[in-house]
Amino acid sequence: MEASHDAHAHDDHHHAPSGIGRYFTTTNHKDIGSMYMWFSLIMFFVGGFMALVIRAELFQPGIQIVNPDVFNQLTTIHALVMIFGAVMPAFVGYANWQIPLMVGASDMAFARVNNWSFWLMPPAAALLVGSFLVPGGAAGSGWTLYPPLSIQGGISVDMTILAVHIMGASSIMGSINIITTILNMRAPGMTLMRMPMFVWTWLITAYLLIAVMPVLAGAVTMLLTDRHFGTHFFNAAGGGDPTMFMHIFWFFGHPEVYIMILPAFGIISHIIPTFARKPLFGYASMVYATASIALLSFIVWGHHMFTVGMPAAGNLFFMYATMLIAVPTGVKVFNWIATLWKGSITFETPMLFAIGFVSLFTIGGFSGLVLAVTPVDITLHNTYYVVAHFHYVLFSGAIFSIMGGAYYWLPKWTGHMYDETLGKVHFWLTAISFNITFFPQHFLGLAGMPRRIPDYAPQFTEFNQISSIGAFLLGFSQLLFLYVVIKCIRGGVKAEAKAWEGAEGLEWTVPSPAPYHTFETPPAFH
Amino acid sequence: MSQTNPLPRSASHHGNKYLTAILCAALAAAFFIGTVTHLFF
Repeated sequence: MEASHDAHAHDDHHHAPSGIGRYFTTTNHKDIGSMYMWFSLIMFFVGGFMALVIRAELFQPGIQIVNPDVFNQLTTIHALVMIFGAVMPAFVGYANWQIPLMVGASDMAFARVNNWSFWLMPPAAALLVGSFLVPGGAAGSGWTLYPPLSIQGGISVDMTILAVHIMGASSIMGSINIITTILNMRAPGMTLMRMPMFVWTWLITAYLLIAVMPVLAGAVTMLLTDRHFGTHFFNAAGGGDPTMFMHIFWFFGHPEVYIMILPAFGIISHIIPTFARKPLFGYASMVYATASIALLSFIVWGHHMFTVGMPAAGNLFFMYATMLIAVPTGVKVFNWIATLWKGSITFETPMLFAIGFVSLFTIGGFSGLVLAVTPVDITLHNTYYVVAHFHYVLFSGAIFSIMGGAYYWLPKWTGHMYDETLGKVHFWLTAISFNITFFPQHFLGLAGMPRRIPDYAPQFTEFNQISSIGAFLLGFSQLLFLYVVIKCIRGGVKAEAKAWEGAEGLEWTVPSPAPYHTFETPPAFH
Repeated sequence: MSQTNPLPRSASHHGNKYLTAILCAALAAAFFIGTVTHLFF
């Protein structure tokens, strides 16, 4: 892939506007991308703080630090903050920064909408986190907001519903922007099957968001009318069906899992070829596998509900459909390994996170297959095995890719190389403490420890203590990431336009840091 | 609102971006309406 950059050689003559007002009014994709990233990092620490309170409470049996109501509120808001406040905005930040650079567009298709999409997020986050301060505390129904608890809850449930509505609107507008940028704004000559893998994964993710965020919005709207306007969609006391909420919620909820992992696949598909110094193995199969995972995600929601009481045919269908997802996911994992095969591999920090991702995400994928088996799930449902499973998918999956991607593109964003030694220390601290935290939770789950309960039987104490020690190490290790990022922004070795020897793509043809305006004239894409 | 990105508004090289956006919005609206109305049938 080559691109002429004569056309944008003078880009850096533009100067970014200054002053605080710049960030409120900016329509620049790089500014908005950075704001999403910082917002995500702040929410990551807010959600992480809640996780540490949860793990502190679980350090020993009995009730020590928070009462059971607050414990439930912490698990609920921890999940919502991490999903909607940390992981999703981080990937939208990547989309904002990278997609225009990767497809040779001057900006996102609808730059003002882009500004609005971002500025909807802080009020939504304030509603979520601020709900701890209202009478009765935050929503304690779990992030799934299942009735009847969510119908009975106080005003904090309304705040949570409003936050979900706002974040959903932001996601839908962001998705429309991303789809339009990719489909309409690509540089001439960049056909769909020549797009970078990250762009493909985001195109598919954006369609998933457009399909399922309105479903969540519909579900919580009906919840709201049940609470305040006399309807009985989900209220059994009035003839409604709480199980229907679960079906609608998980029709959103399962694709949501892929919304949080497909962009991660995209990032990893750039890091591994760069540091293996080989093109991505099986590009077309990667695209088709991503699309297959997305399509399958719509027909597996019932695997979250095996214990609800579905007909055997329903259980069987959802079990087999879920197992089917392992096929395209396996294609991707084998393609990454094949990319490494006979590569000229070096292990800079992004590559460490990428290999950590492939290894640990695969463990989460396998425990997902275990949970897909209906009779096994009936035993393991609502135990710590499930908690271990989805943290392997979401932390060592989504978060590892976000960290790896940050180290990979920081030179392009800041113009400086990050501190490689500190980056590697951060990776090893994170990888080791992550496993100390979450691997024992498999054993706790297999032994029958239920999730979302602040107390437990004494025989679970040792594994819980190991897990809590790991969690504190994991949490405080992330302060090192913050330090490395700030240090990189403030200075360091000057980064080349092509910061990594093996990197390919249009983003590496512009100077580092990327000028405020890029590709005002579309690049010639050969 | 000060304009910090004085670029040509429509740099679309592959079709009409407004049409794409309207179709996407229609898809989102269809899923929302489908969700809240299907319980009535």
